[in-house]
Amino acid sequence: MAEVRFKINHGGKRDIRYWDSTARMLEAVAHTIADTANNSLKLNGPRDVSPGYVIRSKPGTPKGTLGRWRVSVAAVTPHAIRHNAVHNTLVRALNGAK
Amino acid sequence: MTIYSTNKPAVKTAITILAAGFGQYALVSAKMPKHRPIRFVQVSRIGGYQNDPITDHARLLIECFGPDTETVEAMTATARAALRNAISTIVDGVWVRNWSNEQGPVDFPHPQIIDLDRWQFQGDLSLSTTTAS
Repeated sequence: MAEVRFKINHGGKRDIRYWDSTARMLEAVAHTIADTANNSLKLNGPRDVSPGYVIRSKPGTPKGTLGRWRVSVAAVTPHAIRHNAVHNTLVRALNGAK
Repeated sequence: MTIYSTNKPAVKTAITILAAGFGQYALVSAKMPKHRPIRFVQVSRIGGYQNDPITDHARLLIECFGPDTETVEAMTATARAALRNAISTIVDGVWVRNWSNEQGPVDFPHPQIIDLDRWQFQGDLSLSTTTAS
């Protein structure tokens, strides 16, 4: 019987988690969540024209095997922070990104 | 052709489970009560999915309100235990398959209800779509 050996390329796996296409895929999910949350946010007059929920996208620390591209969605304006605390907007918007 | 049954009411089932767990200690409802009691629990559906015809996975948000941190923490512990103990039981004719993918609890104060603390957690309540007997 033929013997098959393989060696896991951990560096290659890490590279996949930092690929541009991986980052774009994660950002697309984050944009879906942020757009859903922003659509539910009633603007509070001219001072609230900027989107209250924004995404952050950046590479994580490339140490060990846990390094990966990181994307997050957060409420950044006072109006959005309060809106999220009252309506749990981000938690509800998460389901729309599945 | 796959035949899908009508899904069972997840929020109503969760309210029944939690109301049995709390008894007279705290009110459990889907809506915020107009006249808030000192302790109450709000249940709402925030999502879910159904991958097959026999199980509906409802993503539920459980918010516990109480007068102080100790009380609210104990309430979340009671609620989590009640939902876990409901696994593989029949509640109002609904077969509860599982309670899983739980996240929390977290201390998340409500900005409009400053006299009460709020802790909340989420989880998937998996219900059979078939009628339990």
